[in-house]
Order: sequence, then C-alpha cells, then structure tokens
Amino acid sequence: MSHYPFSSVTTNLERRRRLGPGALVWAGFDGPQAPGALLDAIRDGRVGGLLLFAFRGNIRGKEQVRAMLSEAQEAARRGGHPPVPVGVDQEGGAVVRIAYRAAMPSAMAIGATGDTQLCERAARVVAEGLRADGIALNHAPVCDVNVEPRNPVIGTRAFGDDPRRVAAFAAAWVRGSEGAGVATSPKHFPGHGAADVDSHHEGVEIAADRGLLEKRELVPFRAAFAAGASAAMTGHLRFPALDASNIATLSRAILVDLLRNDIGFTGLLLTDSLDMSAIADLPGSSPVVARALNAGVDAVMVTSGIERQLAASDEILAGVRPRRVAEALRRATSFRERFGICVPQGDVDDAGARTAAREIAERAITHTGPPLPNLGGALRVAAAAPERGSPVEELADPLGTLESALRARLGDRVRFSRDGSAPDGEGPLAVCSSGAYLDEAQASRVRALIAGGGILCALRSPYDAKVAPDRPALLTYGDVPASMNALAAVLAGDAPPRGTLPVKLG
Amino acid sequence: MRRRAFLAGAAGAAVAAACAPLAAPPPSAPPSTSPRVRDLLSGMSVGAKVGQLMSVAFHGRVITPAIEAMIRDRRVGGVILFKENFDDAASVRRLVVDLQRVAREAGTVPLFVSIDQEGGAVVRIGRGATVLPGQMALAATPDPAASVRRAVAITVRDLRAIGVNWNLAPVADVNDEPRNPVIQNRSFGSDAARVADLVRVAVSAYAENTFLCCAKHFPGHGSTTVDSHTGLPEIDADLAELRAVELVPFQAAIAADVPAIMSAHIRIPALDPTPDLPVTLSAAVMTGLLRETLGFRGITVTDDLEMAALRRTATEAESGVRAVIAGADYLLFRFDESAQAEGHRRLADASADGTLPVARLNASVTRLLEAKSRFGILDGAAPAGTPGAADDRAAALELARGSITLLRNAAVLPLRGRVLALAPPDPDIAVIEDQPTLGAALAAIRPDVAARSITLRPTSSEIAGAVAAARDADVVVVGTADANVNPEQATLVNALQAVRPTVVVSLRSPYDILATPNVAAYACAYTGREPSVRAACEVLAGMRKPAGRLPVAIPGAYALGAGMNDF
Repeated sequence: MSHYPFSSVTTNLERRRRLGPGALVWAGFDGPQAPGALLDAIRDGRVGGLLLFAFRGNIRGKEQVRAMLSEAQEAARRGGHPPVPVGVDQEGGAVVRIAYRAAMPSAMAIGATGDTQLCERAARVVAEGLRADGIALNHAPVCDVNVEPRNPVIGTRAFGDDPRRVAAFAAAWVRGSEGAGVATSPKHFPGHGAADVDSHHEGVEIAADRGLLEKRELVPFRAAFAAGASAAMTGHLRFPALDASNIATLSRAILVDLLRNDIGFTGLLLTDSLDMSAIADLPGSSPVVARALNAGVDAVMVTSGIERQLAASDEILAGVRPRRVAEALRRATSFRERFGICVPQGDVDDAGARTAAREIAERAITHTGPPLPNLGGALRVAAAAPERGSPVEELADPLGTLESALRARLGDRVRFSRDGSAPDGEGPLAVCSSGAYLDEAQASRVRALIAGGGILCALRSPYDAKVAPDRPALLTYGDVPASMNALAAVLAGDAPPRGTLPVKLG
Repeated sequence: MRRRAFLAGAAGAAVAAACAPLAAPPPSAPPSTSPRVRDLLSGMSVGAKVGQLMSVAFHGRVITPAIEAMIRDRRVGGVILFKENFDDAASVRRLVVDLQRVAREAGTVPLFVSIDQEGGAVVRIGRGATVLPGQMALAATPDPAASVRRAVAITVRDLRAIGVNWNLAPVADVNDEPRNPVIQNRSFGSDAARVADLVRVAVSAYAENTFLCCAKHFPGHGSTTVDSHTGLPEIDADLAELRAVELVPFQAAIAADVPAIMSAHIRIPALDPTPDLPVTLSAAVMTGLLRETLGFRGITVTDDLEMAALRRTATEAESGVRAVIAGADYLLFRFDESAQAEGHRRLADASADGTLPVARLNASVTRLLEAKSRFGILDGAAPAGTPGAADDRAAALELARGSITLLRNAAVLPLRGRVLALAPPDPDIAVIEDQPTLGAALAAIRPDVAARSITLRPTSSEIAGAVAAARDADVVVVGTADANVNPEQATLVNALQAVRPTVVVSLRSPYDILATPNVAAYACAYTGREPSVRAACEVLAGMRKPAGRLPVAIPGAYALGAGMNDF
C-alpha cells in the first residue's frame, strides 16, 4: 500500500475553466479602450493580463479607465474566466502612469525620508487607488541598488545605493501594496542598478561576481520576496558571472537556479517589456517569447503589436516544453484567482494619498554642500533644464507647478525665468536642473548661471549636485507636484530641508 | 456523543466489513517458551514474579531511594519515564543506564524502560531527540505508509540510542468524534480501514526494527467525548459497530503480531454491562474478547492505573489486582510510592490465597520475559547510536511538509501585507521545551510579522486586545488547539474574522473549522511542534504548496481526502 485511493480531492485549479497557453502572454494596446480583437482574446482565455501605459493613450481619466477595464472584464466573464489581471507601472516620481490620483514622489525621495513606515503607507495608498479602478498589479518596487551614478534608467527610481537600506524600503513597499490587495513585482531581477546604459536601447552587461551580487544586487530582492511579493520582473541585462551567454530574461541559470532554487521565489515571474531593444534586437531565429518561457518566466510582457501577442499561442505550443507550459499556467491561474479583479463599485477617497505624497515630499528635500543663504525674502529662480513633456498631463509642467507654489508663498517677491537666463532683481538665485549630471549642455548652463552664487535645485537626479559642488544644493529626487510644492516651501523659508541623502555623491 | 450521524460518510468501507466474521480464535496451545525464559521463571519467587507485572513511575531526574527499592526489593518489571525524569536525550540516557545498573546489581531481570513517544501531541523527549509529526499528520501525507515506516525507523533509532526499549505506540484508535478531548490527532484518522492499514504498517515497522511497541487504547478510545484521565468515558456502540470500527485496527495489529496492547479505561456496556466497570478490569473484554475471540497472544498492558476512570471505584493497588485477574499482564503504576508497594503486596497476597492462580501468574510473567528475550532486553545491551541525528530531523521536517493540509483559501494565502500571528505557546497535549510558536516560526520566514502569544482559553480582555491589534494588520493568523473543546478560541477567531480576514491553522485536531466556520482560510498542521509549525508557515508564506490530504471526515464540512494542492 503506498497511496490511499482518495476519491474526493478538490482544488481551486480543478474548479476553474482552463486557460490556454496564450494566457502566458500579457498584452499592451493603443488607445482609451481595448480593441475588439483583444476583447475576443480575453473572452477566449488567450490573454494573461493587460498592461496600461500613459504614452499609449490608455489612461486619460478615472471614468475612462474604469469603463475600459469594465469592458475587458465583461469579456472575461462571458468566456467563463475569472477577471483578467491588469498591471501598471505606478512607482512614483518619474514613473507614474496614473496621475488623476495623487502622484507619489520617487522611490529615492521616499528613501531620503529615512522612514520605512512612510514607504509602507505610500505603497498602501497607491494600491488602494489602483485597486479602486480595477488594477491589482503594480510593477514596483524597483529593487535595484543604484550604485552607478551614470545609470540612465534607474536613478531616482531606486531607494538608494545602500543594499540594506534599499532592502528595508523595498520590503515596506511590498508589505503596504500587497496588504492592500495589489500585487508587487520587484524589479529588475537580478538588479539593474549597476548599469551605465539603458537596456531599453542597448545590451547591458553587469560585470559583478557572484559574491558581489550576493552582497549588493540580491539583498533587496531577497527582502522583497520575504515580505511577500506575489510577482517579480526580470531585467534585460547580462550577468556573465551567472550566465555567460544569455540576458537574465532568457537565462535559466538566473531564473531557475538562482531565483527559484536558491532564493526560493514561488510567485509569478514576469518579463520586462519584450519590445525593448535589448531583447527585440537579439540575433537568432528562436522566437523570444518561447525562449523566455523556456528559461523560466511565467508571464511574457508584449507591450506593443497586438497581432504578435495574439499569435503567441502557436509560438508557445511549438517552442515551449509542455511541462513548462503547465507549470507557468498553474502560476498564472493562481495569480489570476487573486489579482484578477472586477472594477469595484464606488471609489476611494484620495485624501490619504495626497497627504502621504505631501509628507514624503516635505521630508525628502535634502540639502547638500555649503550652508543655504537666508531664505524667506525675495527669490530669483532660473531653469537650466530644457522643457520636457510628459504623456501624463498632470505631470507635464513641473516648473509651472513650482512657480505657482512659490507665488502662493512669496507673491511678487519671486521672479521666475524659464528661458535659461537669470532674472534680474533681489534675493538669492535658485537654479533648477533636471538631469544635468548626464547632460553636458545643461551642466554648462547650470555652471554659468550659478557662477556668481546661488542654490542648485536638482529636480530629478541628486547627482546634479556634483555639477556645482561648491554651491548649496536642494535635492527633490523628482518633480511630481508634491515634490515641487515641498521645494517651494523650503525656498520660501517656510520649512527646513529634512531629508538625508540616500546615495553617495562621491 | 455517538458517531452514527456521520458514520455513512466516514467509514463506509468499515461498515461493509461489519458483516465479515472476526478472526477465528487461535488454537489454545500454550505459548512456546524458550529454555532461557523457563530457567528464569523457575528461579523466581512469587514476589519477583508479581514484581515483573509492574511498571512504575518515579519523581526526579536521578535514581531515588524509592525507585531503587522498587527495583531491588520488589523486583519490578520496568519503569515508565515521564518528562519530569529528564532534561534532554542525554540525561534520559544516563538515567536509563543507571536504572539498568541498579537492576543488574540487584540480580534482577533487566528492566522494560517504556515511554510515550508517539510523535506529535504526545512526545516526552524533545531536546536532543528528533521530534516527529504525530500519527494524524503522517496519515495526511501523500504516501502515508512510507511516512509511517520512516517515522517508526527514526523513533526506534532515537529510543535505542537513548536506552528506552519500549515505545507505547502506535495509537490504534479510530478518531471519529470531533469533540474527543484526548485522542484526536494522535490517531491515524476517522476511517477504520485506513487506520487499520497504517497500524499494521507501524507494527510491522517496529518488528522489522526489532523494537517493542504497543497498540493502544483497546478496544478503542476514538469516539469518546470524555478524557479517561478525568472521568469514565462510555461508548454506547453495539458489538456490530465495534467490530466495524473500533476493533478493526486492533485486529490488524494482532494480525501483524503486535507484541503488546494497552487497554483503555473506558466502559463499553455492549461488551460488559457491569456498572462502573472499565474494560481494563473486565475479564469479558481483556480475556474473552481480546485473547479468546481476537486471538491476541502478546502482552496486555493497562493504561495508567492512577487515572480517574479507575480511581472512582478502587485504589490503584486494588485495580492492579483486579486488572491482572481480568487478564492484564503488565500494570502501569504511576508515581505514588505507597500505592506501588501496596500493589506489590496485594498481588503477592492474591497469589498466596489463590485469588490469582499460579498458572495465570506464570502465564503473564512468561509473556513478559518472552518479550524481554525476543527484543534483546535480557541481553542488557548498552544504548547505541546518537539520537536526534541531523538527517532524521531533516526527515521530520520533510514529513511535516507533506502533511500540511489546506482546506480553504479565500484569496488570502500566500500571506500578504501586514500580518498579525496569534498562537498559544504550548498547543500540544504534552509540553516539551524549545518549541517555537506559530507566530515565531512565521516571523522567522517573514521578519515583519507581528507575533503574539495567546492562552488556550483566551479571556475577553485578551480577545479585545487581539482585535485591537488586528485593526493594524491586513490579515490575521491564529493557531488553534481544539477550538471545539476550548470554545474561547472560537470566540477569539470569530471576533478577529469580523474585522480582518483571518487564517486558522489548527495545531491539534482538524475539526476546529466546525467552531470557526467563517474564516478566510483554514489549514491543518495536526501538531504544534517545530517541524509541523515550520512546515505550516512555509505554506502560509507561499514558499511551498500544500500537499496534505485530510485523514478524517469533518462532518458537514470536508470529506475524507480533502485538501488543496495550490493556493
């Protein structure tokens, strides 16, 4: 006798309608509503999840988002499937897709507060807002340790450059978001922070040995998984110490041997967008969707090209081992059971989110360099940065937000110039930069403007302070409205800078 | 009290078996006796013979004058060890070596050294030994027979290394009563045929390891609602029902040549209608049913003679004599030294005045000596090996992992967000040291978990405090221990579930869901010991998928074999 003839075994899995291999692929689309072909695929169980982006025109307002997702879930219901999960990148700071609810300051701003409780609260209120609109996966937190100041893609999206500090904040974010019912996907595994080029545009290689990875890159990921992250996202980078030939997204050594077997991650493993150049341009005939699944991912993000997304079933059937498909489908099904949600009735009050954003921003403003001049009187402000639009309307004009906030506090004692010149008049000069450290032309303008004295206001990268190290600097780590308002309060002499620098400026 | 309401679901196969005749009585030939045993017996005085019938317990961690006297002067057959006799495996071993030395120096037969090391709820040696999941947990694993064999092999390895030579296990009771206060998770389940199968596997495994075991509690303690430690439970089943349920595992044990069977202090009017007479003292049961009808030829052991079920009608010493006359071979005396001495005197008197016939006395002593011979006890071998080996501890964890049974999950597992964990520090019947609470075990995996201890019967202020703490959490985990018997636990859980999704992990019997029907998730760990608690936490945290299958039917809630394999 080895097995009892158990007769009435019931599992959730068996009660569910089966999903097809297409459900291992997540889809992005253009416009304010899901196209008909996508709705059909949702109905037929051939879509694993939906990805929303502002720049694709998916997010125009609360009512539109809710209507768009209600329609998608109605398609799932008609097909007898649970609601399809919906994911978005709502990190805070520079990566905010939905701004009709409060936009959080960046991860690095949160790191500058030094308060993990505040981080957990931020994650929670962001999650409550997302879930209220039917979105239950937030592609956050960034678990990368930003040890490379020239990193063009992570920067303020990281909590800092100290692995243990990043770990503590990442875990707090996971706890807050997951606790409010929104899945997190710590990213970009196994760590994008040491990169000095953007994997959206080209191949990136991290030359760290296993010992260094263990002490640096992997620390926040381990903490995030221990805090209960339901998903994880791979990065399109190469780690020769772990896999000599494949980027992480396509590496069994990294995704199975390291992530599953060594670290013990059991949740849903997602790829970063497969449309990024680093992966889209890979040589070789083998289809990338199949390669990623074979390497161990459970959900492949195809953010553009709906035809390609819908054709993925055949590619998977042809190129992925059946047991691997079954395993990934099991995880996809479990994940969907919990994080596929209908658009709820009613709404949440955003007041809590706005308060949290304001509090973080106020506690994040960091002063570096020589002492600040006396503030509270007249003030001149010059913008050294080029105007940069954002697809998110509410975030499109940070300088305008800053100017309004200063006017509210100082009235006509502030003179504000946005043409790259220093305004005439009295009072100290504040020079606003936005990524000058990686932009030599901007850096020259900053140096010229501040040559006669003044305060550097780094609206995005804290490394801008290195452009004019002999001048006092105020760092905001991002230019969401809450951060601009907090900066205005400091420049108007109404509040002290309270943040602590979460990275080394060197 | 009786199980009829759910017999149909729980024991269908066993009901069918009720129509089959019991095993035919064996030929009445006397047991074959080895020359060595014959020589020993012939050299014994009456005092030495009646001493052999006695097992005694004693206070203290070293040889006391009292226990030395019982060995030297009364020539007792053995000792039974309890928690208070040692700190850890190494100190038991020293004590056992000393006890056997006293026996050797007194020129008496080497001692039986027995213990209740069932695994799970009833474990006496914790520190330094391998703490195994209990029988119900083993029955819940994907391959119960292999799990039982593995657990027996580990138990034997540990006990042999410590010098204990008799384990008072396995429990052969069919637990089909959710309110049973004393058997519960110690049983292999609620289905007689499956329990019988695993009892046979366990008995065979002890035999393969040449180690003395004992099936208990004959004729079956599983359907009682009273603990015989505190009262006299009664089972009102008729003989057909007993044959269909309670007796089935004992028949299997006997068929597997079990060397010993322990009687229960319960009353079964269908077997012996004498008022207030527990089966331990009933010749109709201990001799008529067990020996003559079922054909058992091994040692019959009484349960503890100090238990309340017996003390209602007789002193410990009187009960001892009556039990032997009824058919018992080996009497478990507890700590009371005067009762032990009086028991010995009364047995000797009964032999002298013919109340206890010489042939009857000799038959019992022969059976006891035969067991000592067959299991190597007469050879006086020193303890061998190291208890609590790392491999065995790893195996215990593996067994526990196979047992965790997830019965409900309304999208709260794996645990996410802010977790509050509440659990009693000592959820098991027998307390041993160094066992983490469920909360501590969870915090070892999820460092941000807030863990609190609760009592087995939480007070209203404790409940109010827990509810207040729950408001700061996203999800609450509660470890329960017999919420049906301790209704305050159900009050706590229901109050928590009203404010936050609450996950219940039952740390004893699987029936707690009946008292907490609205919880968001429900898992059975079957035991509150380290391996099971850790394995349960791994499932709660999503590190592992649940693998266990329910080895009981939970009336009105879950069928035998229920269990989710995913979240």
